[in-house]
Amino acid sequence: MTTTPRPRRYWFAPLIAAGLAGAFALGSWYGGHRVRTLNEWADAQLLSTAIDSVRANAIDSLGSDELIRRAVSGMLRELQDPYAALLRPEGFQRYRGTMLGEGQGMGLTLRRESDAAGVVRVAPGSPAFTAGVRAGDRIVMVDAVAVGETWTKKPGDSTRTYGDSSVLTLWRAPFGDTLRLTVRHSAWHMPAVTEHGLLADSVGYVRLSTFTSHASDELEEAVESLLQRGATSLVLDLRGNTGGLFEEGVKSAGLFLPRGLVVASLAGRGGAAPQPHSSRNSRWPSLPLAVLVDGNTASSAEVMAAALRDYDRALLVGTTTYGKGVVQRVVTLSKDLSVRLTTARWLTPKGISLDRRTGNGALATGGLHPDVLLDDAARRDGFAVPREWEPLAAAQVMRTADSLAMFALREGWSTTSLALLEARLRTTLAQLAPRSARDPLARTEWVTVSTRLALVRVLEVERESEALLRYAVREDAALRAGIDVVAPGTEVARVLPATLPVAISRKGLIQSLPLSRP
Amino acid sequence: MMGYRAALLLGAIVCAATSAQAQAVSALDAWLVSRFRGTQLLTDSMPATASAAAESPLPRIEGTRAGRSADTLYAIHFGTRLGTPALAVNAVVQLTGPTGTITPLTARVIARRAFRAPRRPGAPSGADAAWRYGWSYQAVMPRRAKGNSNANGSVVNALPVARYRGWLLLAAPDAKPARALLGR
Repeated sequence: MTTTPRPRRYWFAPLIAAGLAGAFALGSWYGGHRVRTLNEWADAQLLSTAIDSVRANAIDSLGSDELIRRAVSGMLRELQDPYAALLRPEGFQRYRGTMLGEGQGMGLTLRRESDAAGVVRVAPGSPAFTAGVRAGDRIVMVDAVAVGETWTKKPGDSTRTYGDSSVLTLWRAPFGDTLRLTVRHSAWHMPAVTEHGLLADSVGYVRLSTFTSHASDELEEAVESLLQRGATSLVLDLRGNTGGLFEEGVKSAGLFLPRGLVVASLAGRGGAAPQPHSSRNSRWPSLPLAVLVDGNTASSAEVMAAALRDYDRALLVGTTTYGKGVVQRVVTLSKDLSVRLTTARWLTPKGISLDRRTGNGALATGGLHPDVLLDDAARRDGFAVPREWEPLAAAQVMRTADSLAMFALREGWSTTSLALLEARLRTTLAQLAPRSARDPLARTEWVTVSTRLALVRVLEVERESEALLRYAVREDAALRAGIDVVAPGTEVARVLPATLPVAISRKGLIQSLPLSRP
Repeated sequence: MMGYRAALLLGAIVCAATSAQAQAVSALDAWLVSRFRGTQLLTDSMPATASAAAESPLPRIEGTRAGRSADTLYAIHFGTRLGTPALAVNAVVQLTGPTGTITPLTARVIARRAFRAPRRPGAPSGADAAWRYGWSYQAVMPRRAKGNSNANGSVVNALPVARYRGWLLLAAPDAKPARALLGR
C-alpha cells in the first residue's frame, strides 16, 4: 500500500479575500450611512430650531404640536402631489371607513320635493332599511323639525344628524298613511354594487359604485344571480365610480379574464421593475360585456376598465375617464397623525400610464378614451324637470303627475305592461295640461314630462326597481349604447307612439254633457 | 340573404377604400366614425325612395348639432344583421318624445348610411358575430319661429337641440303633417 503526499491548504485564501472585501464594503456603507444620518440629523435639528424660533419669536405663534402639523402639511403641499394629505384621527377614520365601505348617515338617497324629502333609494342593510323606510316614502319631519325648513340644495343623504337615533315622520303612498319610524345611527356596510337587474331577458346590468373591501365578492354575487336568471350578456356600469382599493379593481377585472393574466402593474420609485398583479379568480372569461364609463370613472375603476379593454374583452362606452394613474399609501406617523402619499404609478397590461399630467377639461391628457364616444354619458334622474322650467311650472307638473300616480295606484292600474300603463297615463295627462301650455309643442312637452314623472312615481311606490331600471334606458344614452353593444336591436322599454287626444275645453265638455242641456 | 350581406360587405371594403379619396366626407360619416371606434361604412344598396320600417326599431336621436337657421339630428338603429332601413332619404319625419308622444315638430332626412360597428375591441373582419349592423340618418330641422310659448311661458325656439337626444324619428304619413294631428 502506498501513500501520496498531502497538498498544501490554499483554499482559505479566497475566503480571506472575500472577508476583507466584505469588511471594506460594510465599512464604506457604514461610513456613507453615518454621513447621511448625520446630515439628516442636522436637517431635523434645523427644522426643530425653526419651530422653536417661530414659537419663541413670532408675534402670533401657535402651540408646538400645531406648528409641527402645519410644517408637515406645508411639506406635503410642496410635493405637488394632489393626493397627499396629513390625516388627523377623524380624517383617518373617515378615509379608512370609505375604503372599507362603512356607511355613514341613514343610507337614504333623497330628492327635493315641496315641503318634503322624497326617498328615491334605501341602501340595503342601512339603518333606514332596517327601520322600514321604503323608496317612494316622503319624509315630512326629522326629529319633529319639518324637512322643508332644513332642506338644503345639496343632493344626497341630507338626514345626517347627531345623536343615537332620529325619528322620521313619513307620508306613505298611495293611501297617505303617516308613520313615525325610529332610525338608529349605527355602523353599516355600504354595498359596492348599488343596482343590478335584468334590462331585457338576456341582458344583465350591474352598477358598481365603488371599490371598497369585498367589492369584487359583491360583483361576483350580483353577476352570478343575473346569470342564473337567464342573462347571457352584461352591461357593467362604472360611471361615477371614483375607485377605492387597487386590489379590488384587480380582482374584479380578473373575474372576466382568463386566469393568470396581468391586470395591472405597479411601478414604484427609483426605476424598479413594475410589479405585476394578475387575475386569480377567473369566472366568466368569455361573457359578452360592455363597460360604461364617464369623466368620474377613476383609479381602481380605470384599472378594471383598462384591463378589460387591453385584452379585447369589453368595449368602453361613454366619455373619457378621469385619468388617475397613481396609487396612494397611508403611513402612520404617530397615534394621532398619518400621512397619505402617492407611492406608485399603475400601468395597464399594455404598459401605459393613464395619469393625467396637464390640462383640464377638453385639454386634459390621460384617461381612457371610450370605443363608443357619447355627447353626454350622464345618468338622468327620472324625476327631473327640464332646467329651463320655472320653479312654479315645475312644482305644478310634479303635483299633477303625483296626484295622477296616486289615483292610478289606488285604482289598481296594471303595471305589468309599461307601454300600456304609459299610454294610459299619457292620455289622461293630455286632458290635465294647464292653460299655459296652449301651443301644441308646449302641450306635448308638458305631457311628455308629466307622463314620465307619473310613471316613475308609480313604479317607485310599487317598488318595481327592475322596471324602473328598464324605464331609465329611455333617458340614459350610455345605457342604450351599452345594450346596443351586447344585444343589438333589443328594445328594452317599448314605446307606443301616438298623437295626443283632442283637448276637451270646459265649454265643450259642458255642452256635451246631457245634464247641462236646457 | 347571405348573398345580399356578402355584397354589402364587399361594397363596404370598396367604399372604405375609395370614398375618402373620391369624395368629400359627409357630416354623417364623420359623426359615425367619431362615435364608433373601428366602424366600417357600408354602401347603401336599398331603394332610396322606399321606407320599410317593418323589421327595424324606430331610429333614436343620439347626436345633435345646433345651427344658425337649422339644427341637425343624427339617429341610429341597430340589429345583429343589416335589416331594412326605417327611413328614406328626403322623407319627412315627426319627432316623437321618449314617452311616445308624437310632436308637431318635423325634420327632413337628408342622408342615411349603413354601417357596422364592433361589439368588442379588435373584432376580426370575418367574424360576423363580433359586429353589429346599423343604419344611421342625418335629419335637419328648421328653427321654429318666435312667439310660441311652452308650458313654462318662454318661447319654444329657446329649446336646446340637445333636448331631443333620446327622442324617436317617425316617418310622417305625408310630406306635410298637419298640425291638427295634435288636435289643437
